[in-house]
Amino acid sequence: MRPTINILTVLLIASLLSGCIVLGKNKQFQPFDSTELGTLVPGQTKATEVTEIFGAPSEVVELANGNAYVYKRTVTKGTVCWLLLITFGNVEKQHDQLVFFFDRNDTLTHYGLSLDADKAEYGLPR
Amino acid sequence: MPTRQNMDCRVKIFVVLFLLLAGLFLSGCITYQIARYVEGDEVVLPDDGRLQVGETTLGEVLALLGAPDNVAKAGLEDLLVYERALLYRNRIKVGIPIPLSSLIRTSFDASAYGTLVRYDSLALFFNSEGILSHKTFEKGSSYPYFKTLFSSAR
Repeated sequence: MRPTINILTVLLIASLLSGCIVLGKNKQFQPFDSTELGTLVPGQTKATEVTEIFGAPSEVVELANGNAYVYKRTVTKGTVCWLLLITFGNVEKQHDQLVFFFDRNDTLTHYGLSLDADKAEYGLPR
Repeated sequence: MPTRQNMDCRVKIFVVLFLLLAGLFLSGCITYQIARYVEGDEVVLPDDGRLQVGETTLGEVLALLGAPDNVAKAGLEDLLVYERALLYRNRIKVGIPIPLSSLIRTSFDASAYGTLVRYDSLALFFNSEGILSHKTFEKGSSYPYFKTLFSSAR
């Protein structure tokens, strides 16, 4: 009797664990060339020079005293695991972001850089 | 005559067989989903006095925290928002996974779910001189700071 129970238990566990895993990645991405940032001089560099180097911004925001050009690169990683009765899904979206601040004369005043796209990870919900 | 031990074994076999068959036949009909969605990096408010209202400049904030997730004009001030969104959803669904609409008009499908959404937001306002005029930090909010702030304008 005992071997029969053991075999059935193994079959039960195997059937409950049967399923599949899907890993997905979406990359809206063209990495920023950080060496180009060294050529930018706040107080001197114009908006046209920035667009010549980095291309068209993802977004232009009007501010109280000028404009901000936002460059955004996104990486999304998704993990889905189907078991017999349970499904686990995890999606993580991270950005590389570069924001340039210009005054009313379109002269660069400040810029900020965040590189977080590499932090997107596959995994199960936790 | 069957002994008590043999009876116990038969009951165990029956239970395991029942679970095995129920699992196989019900797969697809009953599903329990656990989902998590994260957008953005962790938002932390530096508590070492590096963000001083009336003193800290826009340049210092950008050097300290990097590029903001959102930028906007708020009246005569500029607003920088650092935000992280987290969503957890648990859902149980009972139904027939095969579309039967061409055969029968009625279908059996029911689901129940619980969703937890939270936002961690740091909002920094700068005056026309680029000096931090006020700041707001909220952890675990149910609403996104940036979208809520401009919801009436959209």
